[in-house]
Amino acid sequence: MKTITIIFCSLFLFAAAGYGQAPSKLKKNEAEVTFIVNMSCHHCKNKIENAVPHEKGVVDMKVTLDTKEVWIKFDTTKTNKEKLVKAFEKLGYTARELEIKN
Amino acid sequence: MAAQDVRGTVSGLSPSGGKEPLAYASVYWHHAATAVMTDENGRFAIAAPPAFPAHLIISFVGYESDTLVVAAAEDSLDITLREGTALNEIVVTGRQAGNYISKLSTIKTEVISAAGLTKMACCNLAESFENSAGITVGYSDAVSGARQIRLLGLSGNYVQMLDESRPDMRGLAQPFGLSYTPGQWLESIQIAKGAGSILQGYENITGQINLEYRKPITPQPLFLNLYLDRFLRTEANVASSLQLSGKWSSILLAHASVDPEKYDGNHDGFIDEPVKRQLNLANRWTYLADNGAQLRFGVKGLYEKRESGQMDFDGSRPRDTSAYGSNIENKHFNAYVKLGIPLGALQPPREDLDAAPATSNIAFTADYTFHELNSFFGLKNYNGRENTATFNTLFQSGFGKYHSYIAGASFRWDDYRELLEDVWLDNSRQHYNDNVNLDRREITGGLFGEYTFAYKEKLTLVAGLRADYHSLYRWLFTPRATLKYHFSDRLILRASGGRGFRTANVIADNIGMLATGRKIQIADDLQQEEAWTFGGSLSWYFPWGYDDASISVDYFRTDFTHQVLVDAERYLYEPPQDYSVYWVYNLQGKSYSNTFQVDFSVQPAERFTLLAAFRYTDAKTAYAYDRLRERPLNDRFKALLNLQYATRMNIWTFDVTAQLNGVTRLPDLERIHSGNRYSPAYPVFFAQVTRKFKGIDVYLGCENILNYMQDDPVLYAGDPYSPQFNSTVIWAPLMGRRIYAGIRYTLYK
Repeated sequence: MKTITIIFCSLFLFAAAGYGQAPSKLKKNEAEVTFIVNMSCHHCKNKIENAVPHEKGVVDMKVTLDTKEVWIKFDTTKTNKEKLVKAFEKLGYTARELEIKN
Repeated sequence: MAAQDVRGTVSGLSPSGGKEPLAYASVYWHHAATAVMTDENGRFAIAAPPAFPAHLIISFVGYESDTLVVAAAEDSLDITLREGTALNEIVVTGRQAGNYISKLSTIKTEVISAAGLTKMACCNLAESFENSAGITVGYSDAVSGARQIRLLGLSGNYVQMLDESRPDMRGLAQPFGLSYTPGQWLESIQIAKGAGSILQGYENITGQINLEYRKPITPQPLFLNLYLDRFLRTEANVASSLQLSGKWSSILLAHASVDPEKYDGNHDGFIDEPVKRQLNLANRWTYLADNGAQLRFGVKGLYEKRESGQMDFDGSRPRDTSAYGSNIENKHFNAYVKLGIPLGALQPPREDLDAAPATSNIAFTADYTFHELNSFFGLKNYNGRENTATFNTLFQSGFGKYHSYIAGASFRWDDYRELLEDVWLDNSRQHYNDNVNLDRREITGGLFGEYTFAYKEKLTLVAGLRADYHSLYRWLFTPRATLKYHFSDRLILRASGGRGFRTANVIADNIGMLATGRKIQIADDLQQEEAWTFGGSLSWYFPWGYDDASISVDYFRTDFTHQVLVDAERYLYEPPQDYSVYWVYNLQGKSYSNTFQVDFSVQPAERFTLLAAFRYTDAKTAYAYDRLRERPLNDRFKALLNLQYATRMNIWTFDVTAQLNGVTRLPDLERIHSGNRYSPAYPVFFAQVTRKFKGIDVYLGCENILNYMQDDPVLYAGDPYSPQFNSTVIWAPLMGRRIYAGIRYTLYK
């Protein structure tokens, strides 16, 4: 029973250690872009999540189906926005860069 | 903002007539490379195109997109999008949680999503529940390898299994049913505790488990899964969906698996889990008509063979008392058709909200199931054949703004042909035998109605009643009600209560009895089982960690009015004091279970989730008329901790699950001990790593990492033809550490 308690406690500690990690900032040669993609269902999201992360230079990606937004962080030495737009076109979608106005 | 901007406002119109500003709708010029998004008030400003007139496209998920021809720079475009009608799936945004408590449903529902189904090997349905504290997964006995679940401290027999809302795994399919649904065929599982809806019949007592299969309309021409583990279990699953036209679509599901090797890890001479072969095929079709009508139909066929018993049993030789063996063969076939027709055209939205008409539908379902089970356990033979046909028709409509109702009729025809050739030996090796014929035909016809009052997003009340006429048990009245109340967006109360009935299939429900040396003594006057279940839950969502955290507390109580008891301990109280008999008889006194559960979930960091749960159960039954005792082999508590961490874009996913399984009361089979004896509490650990490649997931995992096994799952393993032989006292895993690996390949269209 003692070992069980130790194992459970260490699992909780492991959980606590992960707490409070701040989202990573942009590193050198990294840029981010948000696209509006004409996806309309959960399947489209799965399809994009299956393919785009494996494109050269893609560092991180988040897909929000409700707003049709795809946020991508990429390595500027390996890819650029035009290549990313082509990657979406290859999947059968159109991607338009979202203009962020302030 | 620049003067040449085109500006305007986007609103959304729902079918009930509500008009609200749409935030986060996207707005862009046709052929342009960029887009803008509306703000919280639905407003947008987009730079003018190179030339006018130009096409402006406005779209938002769940709404029909609109294209506008804009002739000149304007600053007050007023655009209204209509809510789409075809989209009726629940859209999950962000990272998909594995297991979560649904905010939407009226009954407290735990959802195991596609992400949750990939957390573990999930060879079959039983394993899909390892991450759920509410459900305990165990074995009925050490010979047949039949997996059983328990919900609310009661046998899985009292849970209604649904295949996309159609009752499934009933009757003779019940004992091995959990291994008949490959986890990889499923899209999600919904576990609803307590009295549910009356629409699916009166058989739900402790809850409903609904299985959503992969859908014909999902454009995935090929899904392939291959699995292998250290016991050489090999499994292949294939799903292929085809969209033939805009209207017709179909999915083919296939599963083949083999457990080829005999293992005896605990050296008791018995195979730990049967040598098995299973072939399982299903084909489902969907037709979506332009007027909203839907037709769905499908067939499923299954063949499974299990061989078990002592390691040196040779199935090719005539059966005698030299070595103990068991063969179980199952054949299953199901065909169904479902038709839903909207009555009248979809109504255009109107401004006067109180008179907003609800759409009406009629639906019709027909279902046919054939199941054949042929088996022997040592010298006992058990053969059964079931034919079931059901018809269901319902009408759905509403009135006013807050009211809707469903009324319908159902008919079921159940035909069981079962023969138990019971053979047992006494201590002086004298053979006895008894043929028990369990043939039964049940015809049930019923009418039902369910009323829903939904006041905004605040209060939902569902009240249902069904009246069924049963050919053996006469009139059955089943009232049920559920309530959901939002104190706020973040605090939700749910309560439910109602009655349920069920005809016990004595042998199939308790298949483990056959894997003992005892005589099975079934009373002649068995009643239909009847119980009331009441309960409720409180769920609280609060901002903590990366996203919302949640705590949910629930309590349920089931009280049996009638129950069929299977008792191995009756000899303790009554003459003849003969411990070589399994008594099957009607409950005379009380029988109840109380279950209390807490679930907690939090995301301590991005892509890192933690789930913790604890359940306590108090289940007691009056055996031998008035001896109120804790139900044997029922775990008093279960604690669960699941951690999942994924790297960016889920390229790597790590899962660790720890379970602490509580004590169970061990039945006193031979008057060896005075007072109660309990099995120890023990932990089980699971871990899995998944790596995503383009189109392919590769996973590697381990179940039962500490290699925890029960030492003596078979009592009197050395003397399997003695009356004391018993393999039903199972409270821990039968198989040791299981390392497995698999791949999943998906082809997207």
